[in-house]
Amino acid sequence: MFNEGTFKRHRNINIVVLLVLLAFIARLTWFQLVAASGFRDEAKKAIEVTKSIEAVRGNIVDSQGNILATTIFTWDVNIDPVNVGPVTLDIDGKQTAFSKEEISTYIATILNVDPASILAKMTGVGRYANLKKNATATQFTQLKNLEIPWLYFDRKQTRYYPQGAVAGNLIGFMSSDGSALAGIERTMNSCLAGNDGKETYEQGADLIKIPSSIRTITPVRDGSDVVLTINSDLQYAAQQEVAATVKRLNADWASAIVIEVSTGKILAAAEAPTVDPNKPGAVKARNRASRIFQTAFEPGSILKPVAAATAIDVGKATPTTHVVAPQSLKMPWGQFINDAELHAPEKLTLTGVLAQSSNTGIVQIGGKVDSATRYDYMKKFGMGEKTGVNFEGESSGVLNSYKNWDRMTDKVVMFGQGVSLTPIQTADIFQTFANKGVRVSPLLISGCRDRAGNMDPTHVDSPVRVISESTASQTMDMLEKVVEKGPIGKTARIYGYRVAGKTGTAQIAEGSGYGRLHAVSFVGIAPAENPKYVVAVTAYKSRNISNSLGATPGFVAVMKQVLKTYAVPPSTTKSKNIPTGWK
Amino acid sequence: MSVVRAIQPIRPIAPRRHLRPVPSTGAPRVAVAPRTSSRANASAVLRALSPKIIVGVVLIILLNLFLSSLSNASIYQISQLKKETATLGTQAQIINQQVASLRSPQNLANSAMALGMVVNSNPVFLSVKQSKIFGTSSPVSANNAGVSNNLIANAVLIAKSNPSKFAASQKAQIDVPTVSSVKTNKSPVVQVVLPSDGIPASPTH
Repeated sequence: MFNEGTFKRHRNINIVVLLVLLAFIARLTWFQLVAASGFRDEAKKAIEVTKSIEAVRGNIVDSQGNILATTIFTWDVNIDPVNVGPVTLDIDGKQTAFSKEEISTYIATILNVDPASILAKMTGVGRYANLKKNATATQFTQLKNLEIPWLYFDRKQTRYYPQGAVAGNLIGFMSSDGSALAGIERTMNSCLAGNDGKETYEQGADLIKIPSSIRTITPVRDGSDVVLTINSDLQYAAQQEVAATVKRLNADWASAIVIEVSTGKILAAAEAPTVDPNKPGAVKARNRASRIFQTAFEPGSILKPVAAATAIDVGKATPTTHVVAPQSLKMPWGQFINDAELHAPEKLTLTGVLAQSSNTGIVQIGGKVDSATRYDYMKKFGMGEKTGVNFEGESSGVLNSYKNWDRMTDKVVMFGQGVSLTPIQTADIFQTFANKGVRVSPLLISGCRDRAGNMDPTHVDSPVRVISESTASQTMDMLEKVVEKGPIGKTARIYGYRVAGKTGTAQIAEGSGYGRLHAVSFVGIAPAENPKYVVAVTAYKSRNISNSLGATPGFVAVMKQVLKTYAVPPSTTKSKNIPTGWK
Repeated sequence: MSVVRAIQPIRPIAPRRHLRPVPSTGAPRVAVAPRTSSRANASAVLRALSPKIIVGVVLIILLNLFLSSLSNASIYQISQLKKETATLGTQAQIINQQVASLRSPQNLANSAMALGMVVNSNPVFLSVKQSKIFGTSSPVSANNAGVSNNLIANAVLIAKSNPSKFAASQKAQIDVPTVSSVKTNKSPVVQVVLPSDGIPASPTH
């Protein structure tokens, strides 16, 4: 049995133990319940990481699925200069020491940069220095394999254009920080860009991600693809031709457009000079845009078929309507309208007027139609308004209201002066003739296709009936005679095929008058009996040839390539026999 | 006033007593419980369970350790596989860029030209259906050849075909059958059947 002293001692010890225990319990309760959330948050902060997941930008592809623009990864190669020092590398299984100078030369060789600049950066005292931006995958792999501890890499998305300048004028380009700066890259940015995602996860002390802790906050959505109507092979061939044309004519620039008649699809829109989107800085700013959509100029005689078709459509003329076309026609108010070439008065039909490209002839026949009606037809042909392509910076050209035409403008608009058009608007007019009088809006972008293959097609404006089918057919017959019998038109013939077309030699406005140089063009349709394709070739400010003879070789070459590409069989019928003159 | 009237004075209620005296039975009211019964049972149960509890706890700890090490190993494996995926992705990018460069029209045009090829701008079409030839074939001359040399820039032309190598390999292929030491077995001559409305088809199996 315990005596009283022992009992008291035991009781005191028990009380002390109990108090200590209670203190522990209180403290534990404070940790576990009262301050728990604070500690939990603090712990979470230490190990939890929130990371943005960059969406991969979509591709731009041609109608055949060939990639014209895509996204690759490049690496910024950086160093921590304070930690830079000699390294020991495993060379063929042998540990070899390299001095700072030696390794700088080696790195410079891989990065293809000046070794002195690399060494200078390596001897700095800062904690960061960039050795090269946008190193290629090959350079990155070579450097990474060296396992140099003070060398580190930042991966980033970079735009890559595998076909270089093919369709460069259309595709546009991006800035080094990934902003879309021009062309389809910019106009279709909402389709291409996608949405960045965000996720949180916990990581260990060694920065390893703990899989079970990954929590997606915002799911990443990669960009969709833009599908063009362009055929990149045809585009390349057309660019080759216009580049050769610029060289041959010593022109400022040249363009070639190929349109599929029934759909309005632009199969090629070639320009020279143009831009390689991989290196947009390598060319002058004016060569980075697309003149096909953005540059409007007075088209000249290429508009005569519009005046002729209008006169036929309103019943004021037929392809055989007679006219005497003098070299110079005096207007009632005393001014003169002249033909380009000196000639005696010619007895021409309307077909002959187009074949000879007579200004005096078209003014007389086209003038039978009142100004308001002619203006309405010009509007219906799409003049003075942007095409449905909606290319960035697209010009609508200039077509002033007939109410603002002075007496001379009222006449000269019939042969393409006093009005300005972009090359695509001109090509669209000929698409209307070829498509039985129905104008279909040109189409450059088929649509936006997501990663699952679902296509969101581009909205296409409803086709517009401009002239009757009969008028369109008669216009086509007349245009065929331009190629058969026209002095310059003859040079646009393609052996085995019936071709319809029109020449255009336009003076270029400079200041208050016209300059010395011309915009020469030829727009043709083949095969004429069953029109499939329109090809429009323009050379601007040609210095070596000042008429459409400068444009027809390019037209022939591009149209031949089109007919070959789409395996169009040669014509088996002959054109109608329409007189071009009368006695 | 109405409030005052509504409050009734509280009447004191006498507490009801529910306790009644317990009738005496003569037996003692309190008995001493046997000291051994419940404690002995408890300790017996404890004695029986404690090895199992200990083993169970140890097993749980071991299982936890095992799962933890397994999970850790998986995490590192996943991390390693991700690194390998990235490396392979980089290699794939290098190869894809080389292929893109080789198949670019600029490279093909340069290679074709180096091999002496020119663009034939006067093609001839064969219609199998109509058994007709459209167009007249003519040799390509400097006057009617299209633009053959590449004029279109491409800054990412990293890989280029080697036409001379290609020509050499073609020659090597052609040379193979001419080696005198190679014995050839002559195939039986099979007549090619010409269908009436199709491309002549070889009876190859």
